[in-house]
Order: sequence, then C-alpha cells, then structure tokens
Amino acid sequence: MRVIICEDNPVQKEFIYKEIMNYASFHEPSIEVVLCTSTPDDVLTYLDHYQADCYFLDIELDHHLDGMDLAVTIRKKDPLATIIFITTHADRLKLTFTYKLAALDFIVKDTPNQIASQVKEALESAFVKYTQLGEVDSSEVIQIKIGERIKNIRLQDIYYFETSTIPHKITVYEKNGYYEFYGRLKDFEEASTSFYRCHKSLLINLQHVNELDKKKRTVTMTNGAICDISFRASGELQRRIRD
Amino acid sequence: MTTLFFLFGLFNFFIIYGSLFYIMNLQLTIKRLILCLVVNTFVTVLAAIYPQSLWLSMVVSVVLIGGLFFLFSRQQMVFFHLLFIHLCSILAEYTALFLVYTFHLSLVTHIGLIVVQIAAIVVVYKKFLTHYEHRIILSKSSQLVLLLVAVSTSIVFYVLVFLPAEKDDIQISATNLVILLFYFVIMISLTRIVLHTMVKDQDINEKLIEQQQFTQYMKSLEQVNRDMQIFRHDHANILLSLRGYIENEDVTGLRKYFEEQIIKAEQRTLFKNQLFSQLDRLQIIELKGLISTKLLLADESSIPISVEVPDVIEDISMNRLHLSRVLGILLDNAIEASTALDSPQINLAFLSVNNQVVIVIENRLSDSEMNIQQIFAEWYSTKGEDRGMGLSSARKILSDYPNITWNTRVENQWFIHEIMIAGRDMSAGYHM
Repeated sequence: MRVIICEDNPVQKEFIYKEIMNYASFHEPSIEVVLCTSTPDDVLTYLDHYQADCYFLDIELDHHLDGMDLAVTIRKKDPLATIIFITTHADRLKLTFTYKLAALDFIVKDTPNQIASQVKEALESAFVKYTQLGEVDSSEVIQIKIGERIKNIRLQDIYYFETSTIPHKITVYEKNGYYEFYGRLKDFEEASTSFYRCHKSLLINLQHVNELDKKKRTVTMTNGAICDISFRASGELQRRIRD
Repeated sequence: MTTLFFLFGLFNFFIIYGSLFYIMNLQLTIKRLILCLVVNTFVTVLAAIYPQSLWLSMVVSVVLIGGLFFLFSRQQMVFFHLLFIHLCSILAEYTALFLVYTFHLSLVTHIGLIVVQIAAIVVVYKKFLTHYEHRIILSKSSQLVLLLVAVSTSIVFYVLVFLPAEKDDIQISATNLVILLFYFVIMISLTRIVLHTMVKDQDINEKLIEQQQFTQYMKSLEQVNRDMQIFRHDHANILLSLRGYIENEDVTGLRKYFEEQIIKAEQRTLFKNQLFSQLDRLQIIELKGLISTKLLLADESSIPISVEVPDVIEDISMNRLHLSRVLGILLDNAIEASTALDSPQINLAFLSVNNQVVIVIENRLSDSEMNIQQIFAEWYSTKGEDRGMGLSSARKILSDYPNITWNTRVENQWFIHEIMIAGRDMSAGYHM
C-alpha cells in the first residue's frame, strides 16, 4: 500500500512519517511512504505520473489549496483512494469528511501519544480497506450512495425488501438498520438464491425466516418482523422453507 | 342503438381516462391501458343492457374508474378529480346540446364543441391544481368534505339533467342551463375561497412559527454572547493567576492549572462559538431556531453536540413545518438517548452534495445497547401505534415525499439517521 503524507508543519510531518514507518516495519512491510511533502502541489505533480492508495492530508495547509481542495482533486482522479485528514481540534468536521469527501478517517492534532494511536488505527483500517478492494464481490452486496459515501449492504444480512406507496421507492431491512432507495423489487429477485418474492410488495430472505403461519398467511422473520404472503406464493414458500 | 352506445363509450373513454392520466401525471403503460379498456367495456355493456337506468352505469363507472386510478396513484383525490371531470362533461354536453338546438348546428360542431369545452376545463383545472399543489396540505377530513361537495353536486346535476330526459325527449330549457351554470360557478368559487383562506391561514401559521424560532435563535445568540463576556472576564483572572504561578516559579502548579482550567474553558467557549458560526450558513430561519434551542437544551445536560454546515444551504425542498417537526423529533430522541451515557456525543450535519441535501444525525450508544433488534423492534411494526418515540410519525411524514429517502442504522456504536432530500437546484459551492 503506497502512502502519501501532506502536512505543512515539519514537526508533525516527521512525527506522522515516523509513526507510519514504525507501523509498517512491525506489522505490514508492504506499506511504504512514497511521498512526504509540505505542499499540495507536490502531491498533484506526483499524481500526474504515479498513483498512491492512501493519503494523509492536513486540512489547514498554508497554501492556496487546502486539504479539502486537494482531497476533491484526488477523489476525481481516484475514486477508490483512501483519504485520512489531519486537523486541529476546533474544526472537526467528521460528517463533512465522511459524506462529502468519503474520507475514511481523521486524525485530531492532540498530544503526541494520542496522535500516534490515531495514526495506527487509521492505518489499520486503511490497510483492511486496501486488501479488501479486490475481494468485495459485487454480487454479494448492494451498494447505496449517501452523498459521496458508498455503503455496502451484504445480501446475507438482508431480512427483506419492501415497496412503499411511492412508486419505485424500496426499503431494505437488514441486520443493522434499514435503507431506502429507488429501484424495482424485480431487479433483486435473482440477486440471491435465498430471496423469495412472497408478496407483490415483499421480497424476503429465506435464510432469516423464523416461523410460518399458514392460517394467517404470514412469516415471522428472525428480527421479529411479520411479512404477509400472497395466496399464490403460499404453497411454494412452504416447499422452499422445508428444503 | 348498440353502435351508438359503443361510440359513446369510446368517446367517454378518451375524455375521462385521458383527462385523468393528464391531471394525475400518470405514466401510460400497456397494463394500465388494458385495465382501463376492460373497465370501460364493462361499463358500456352495462349501460347497453340497462338503458333505462342510466344512473346505475354512471355510479358503477365512477366507483370502478375511481378505484382503478386509486390503485394506480394511491391518492384519494382521484375520486374528486373524477367527479369533477364528470360534472364538466355533463355541463359541456348540455351547453353544446343547447347551442346546437338553438342555432341548428351540425353533429360535427356538436362533438367539436364538447371536446373543446372539456379540454379547456381540464387544462385550467390542472393549472389550478399545480398552483395549489405545494402550497396547501389537505387533511383527510377536508379531502372528505371536498369529495362530499363533489358528490352532492353530481347528484344535483344528474337529477336536473337526466331525470327529465328519461321521461320524454331531452328537455332543453335555457333556465335549466342557467341554473346549472350558476350552481357550478358558485361551487367553484366557494371551493376557491376556502382553499384561498386555507393557504392564507397556513402562511400566517408558518410566519408565526418562523417568528418564534427567530426569537429563540436570538436568545441563543445572546447566551453565546454572555458566555464570551464571561470568558473575557475570566481571561483577566486567568492571566493574573498565571502571573502568580510564574512569580512563584511553580511549574507543576502552572501545568496543572493550564491543563485543568484554561484548555477546558477555552475549548468550551470556542466550541460553542464555532457551532453558531456553522449555523450561520444554514439560511432557513426555522431550522436555525430549532437547532439552537436544542443545542442549549443539550448543553444544559452537558451533552456535546457538533454541528456541521460546510455549505450555504438556502432551501430544502420540503415543507418547512414537516422538516422542523422531523428534525425536532430526531434531536429530542438523540438527546434523550444520550442523557444516560458516560461519554455522550451527538453529531449533526447539513451537507449539500450533488444537488441533494444530506442531513445526518448520529448519537453514540452505550455498549449495553448493542442489541440492535431491540432498538428497531418497534419500527418494524408499521401498524403499531406511536410509542412515544415519535419516530414512526417522523417516518410517516417523510415517506410521503418522493424526493426523500431515509436510512437508519447502527454502526460502530453510533445510531445514525441519514436523510437525503433531492432538490431543485442547490448552491453547491464550497465554503469552509
């Protein structure tokens, strides 16, 4: 994983560089710092010819471009790049970083000890993301864009999909919560073999069925949700649950 | 006779179904077209079988077509639109008939007159609807009242026009026509007046709330100002104390004092100041007031809230009252959930990204609250009553907007709401 550091305070820059090299030599030798600079121009020149995977950017650069602008440019060139911001305490803008720039993490300038642990944590999650890049199979997740942030929902975590009264608005209920987006239930029927369209407005995950009530024609999901079954689907659903 | 009925049916079909598709902005699909054709054939056949009791096919037609379009659009107003179109067609046919008889015009002019009249009325009606669409929210009861007005008008029209027609040949008297027109105009103007007053009331209501929120915002600003004054006052004291430590050359005491007093006090005041500078960019007065009130409320229970508004946000494409209501519920919930925590934190952000406003509200959860099922349990039952959380009502409000999607989830011990509101056009510039 190639790392770029852009920080205009020489002490902080050295410190972060040392922390990253430290982490690399002890845990992940494949992490290397390819550029450590104090001006964003150097980063842009570097990006004209090469690529990097992970960026540590100071927000408050004393330059006509600040860390935010630099991040926007990097995002344009490489949507998959991992961006980690370094910032002073006063203007922590966690949500802005996450939703506008899809930044992975941010480091608050604090006591050296705390910075060190923050760098370590950020580097860990960046490395996890880096190694997973090629592995996340798009057939196993649904991607939802929230602002610039991309959220992966694993198909196996999904309880069920439901249509709403507004045409094409779908709500998907999964382990950690629920999401709304625009689409058609039909497009997800084939996404997983365990999905079953048990009703005109419902697509359930058979892996999460807890109980089937034949009389009322409902299924109770493992999360306690109760889903209706259409008359037509009732027979086939019983067969599929038995299998 | 049958051909005449069939022609009439076809004519009816184009007028009523076409107008409804046009008024409701519905997409014409083959499935819908076939369903419409089936219903229309049924009604025509019914009319052909019982030509003596036309009222039967009229009622069946209204109920069936209304039901069909309600299925398409899920809007109750469809029944009102339908009755209105029926009324207009009766009126148009009657006027045309009258003109044709008086001036001895041809059949083609007759049909032409009907079509032109109906088309004109439908176009005006649609303009009228779009004019009021975003300015007024009709409650279920007022929709029902409107529907009753339409039904009674229809009955009166029917009695006046068709009952005499069943006895002998169509009686066309100028008085009848004048009465009908008069009645129709009165109904229309009354409805207009009612709608107008409703819009006015709603406007006044909104202004009032805006005013209250603005006062609230001013109060919060004053509070911050007072905090700053205290800080300035403390500043002098702090310098004096520092001097004392320095003169005694008490470095450990100085360090302790610095870390415990100065940094804390400074962070708190500056943080609050920063919050209000963020709120500056949110140029929706109602929200400013609401959020600053909630900020002070959270501050009283010493729950830190961070607010992020990196871009200037001038408009959010949804009803302001709805927006304030939903945000109020979510913030109250977040604050309530945080009071019991050791290290609570609430983050709030208004971001404009890709012509969309994204509102994020998140609050920290305690370790023991990791049972997600429990947190969401009450949400899954959409039929259950509101259990004091207000969340289901917030969800209900937003679910009516086609331009809004809402995600709620638990992630890394954060309880997160994300509300995405697609806008007409937003200022997307960067202002940090």
